[in-house]
Parts: sequence; structure tokens; C-alpha cells
Amino acid sequence: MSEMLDRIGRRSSQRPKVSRDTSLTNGQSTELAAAPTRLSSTDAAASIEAKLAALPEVTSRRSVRIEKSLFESLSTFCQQHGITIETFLEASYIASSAEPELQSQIVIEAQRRMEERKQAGKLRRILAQLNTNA
Amino acid sequence: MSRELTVIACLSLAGGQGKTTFVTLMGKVLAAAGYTVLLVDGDPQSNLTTFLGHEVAADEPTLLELFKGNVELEDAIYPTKIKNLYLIPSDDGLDNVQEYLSGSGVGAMLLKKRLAAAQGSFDICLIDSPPQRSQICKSVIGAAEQIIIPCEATVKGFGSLVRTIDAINELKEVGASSAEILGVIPFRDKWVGSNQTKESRDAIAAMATVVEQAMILPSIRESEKFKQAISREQTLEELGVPELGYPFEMLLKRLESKEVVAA
Repeated sequence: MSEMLDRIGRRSSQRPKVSRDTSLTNGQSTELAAAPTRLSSTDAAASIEAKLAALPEVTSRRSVRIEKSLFESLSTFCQQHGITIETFLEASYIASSAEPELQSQIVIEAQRRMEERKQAGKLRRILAQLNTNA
Repeated sequence: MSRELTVIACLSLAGGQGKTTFVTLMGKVLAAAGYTVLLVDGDPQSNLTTFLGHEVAADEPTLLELFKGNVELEDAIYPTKIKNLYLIPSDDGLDNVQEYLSGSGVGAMLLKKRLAAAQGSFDICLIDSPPQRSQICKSVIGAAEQIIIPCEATVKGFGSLVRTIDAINELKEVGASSAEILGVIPFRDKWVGSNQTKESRDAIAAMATVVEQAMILPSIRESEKFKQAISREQTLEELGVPELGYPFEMLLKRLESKEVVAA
């Protein structure tokens, strides 16, 4: 038995005493106590909402599935530049929109990938049916 | 003998997906197999703590005090009635850690840091997580090396799987997690006689479109026996239904075959 496990086994009378709040109501009373400053909080919230309104809205989270062989290098690339895969995708779309030749190359590659995924999906379905019938 | 600790989180972002049932029974299976197991009750509902028959005194350390760094790791670990099985309990007070974690700036990394001292004393740390996309949940994902996702074999369970994988990927993307998904366990897989119901079959088939088929582990069948085993603090063998233990035995084999834990 490790020393830690041995100590844990003998610990019942040696644990430090603690106190914690397990009530819901105490949290509410804290909010009530803060009521006099609520007006300034409301002003601050309005100011933040105005700033937020000036920034682009984003859609709700969508699942993005990336080819496994690319995921690691793409994630590393984004981390190195302090961006996310989503913001990289947005910026790539904007940048390539100004370069029609580059954009058409991207579309051709994307269409090739799309075909591969469709084919993989069909094969998976067939395999699932075979396994179900087996 | 020095032990190599593996931290496994049981995660599913909806209620009623079988997280606590799984952690309770899997913890017992691992302990019976000879591993020294530390269970962590990461849900303020604290059902895992209750299921293990542990009563938290108001002045005894729990996961909350460990999170906040008010106590050492071993002050928050309690032996259970079961050999090789230990618990870091929680109670309603754990809800108060949300604000602390969101203000700490390193919330996603904090549980990993707090559990580091278990290295060398435990083989496996199995964490039960809350059903919400909360700060606790983030910290659980950040601490995990492996993640098991139990999902009810229903449309709700499928939705939970998608949300859970999204949350894991989100943290991976920002470098806050390096966890691997060990597998998905369909829960409450419903059979009538020798026939699986259509809802269960369709839900499990849908799960296989989100993760690779090989990641779908043997399902936990819908049965009152699991609740009975937990409430009576018995094993499935002791309850006379050893066949229901199959998914847990298979997961143990997977853990050993993938060398997640030493066989």
C-alpha cells in the first residue's frame, strides 16, 4: 500500500475542518444586498450591449468534422496564429473571394473531398445493413 | 510499487444518460479487478457520493475545497466500504465553485493540477461529471486523458452525444484538452424478449454516424437491476444477474488491451 493510501486510511480524525455554503437563499440575499448599485450595473450592461451590437453576430455552434489526417496540422496552425478553425475558414472565404482563380481551385478540391465523403457515407450505410442482417 | 495514474472522465451533456450508474458500477468492477481506484463526484447533485454510501459532514472537505486549494488532495479522499475504492465526495456546495472557476482564468486546467498528487498512489481516477456545459464540466474535460460517453439509446441520448463531442473538440481546439474518446456506451438499450426496440436500434445506429463504429461499446440494457444493485450496494453477480455486467467487463478488457491501464 502506498504511503498516501495508508495516510488516507488513518485520516478520519485528522482532516481539516471546513465550512461551505450549500444554500440557494444565501446567494439570493447577496444579490439583494447589491441592489443599490443595480442602476449603474444596468448602465454598464447597456453600454456593453451597444458594443456587442456593433460586432458581427455568429451562428449557433455547428459541428465541424475535419479529415483526421488534416485535423492535427490545421489545429496546430491555428493555435500558432492564435485563431480558431472557424475564424480561419471565414477569413479564407473572404480572402479567396478577392482571388477568383484561387477560389475556383479551392472549390475543385472541396468538391473532390465532398465526393469522397459521400462515398464513405454510402459504404458505412451498406456495412451497417450487412452487420444488422448478419 | 509506483503506479501510473490514468484519469478517465465519464461525460454526457444531458441528464439521465447513465453517467453515475456507470461510474458506480465500473468503479466497483475496476476495484474488484485489483486496481486502486479513485472516484470523483463532479456533480453537485452528489448521487455518486450517495450511491457509495458516503455521508458528507458539513465540516468535512469535499471536491469544492480541493478545487479551491483550501485542502490537500488526500484530505478530500475518503475510503469506501469497498476494498481498493476511494472517493472524493461532493454536496450542493459544489455549485459555488462555478464562479471560482470562471474567475480563475485556468479553470479548465485546475482539476488536472489538483489530481496530480494522486500519481503513484492510484491506478485509475474515474470522474463523474455534471450534465451541464458548465465550468466544472470544462475542468473535468481538461483533467481527462480518456473520456467515456454514456448515452441513452434515444433521440435525446443521440443529441447528448453530439453536444458532448462538440464540447470536447472545442476545448481540444484551444489546447485545453488532450483527451481521447475511449468509447460510447449506449445506455437503457431496450429489448422486448429477444428483439431490440426500433428506437434503441435507430439511436445506436445514429451514434455510429457520429463516432467510428468501433467506438460504440456493448450497450447497457434497460433493467431495474442496475438501480437495485446500486441501492442495495451489491454487485450484479451478487444480485444474480452477472450477464448484465458484460458491458463493464468488456470495457475493462478494452482498457487493458489499449494499455490504458496495466493488465
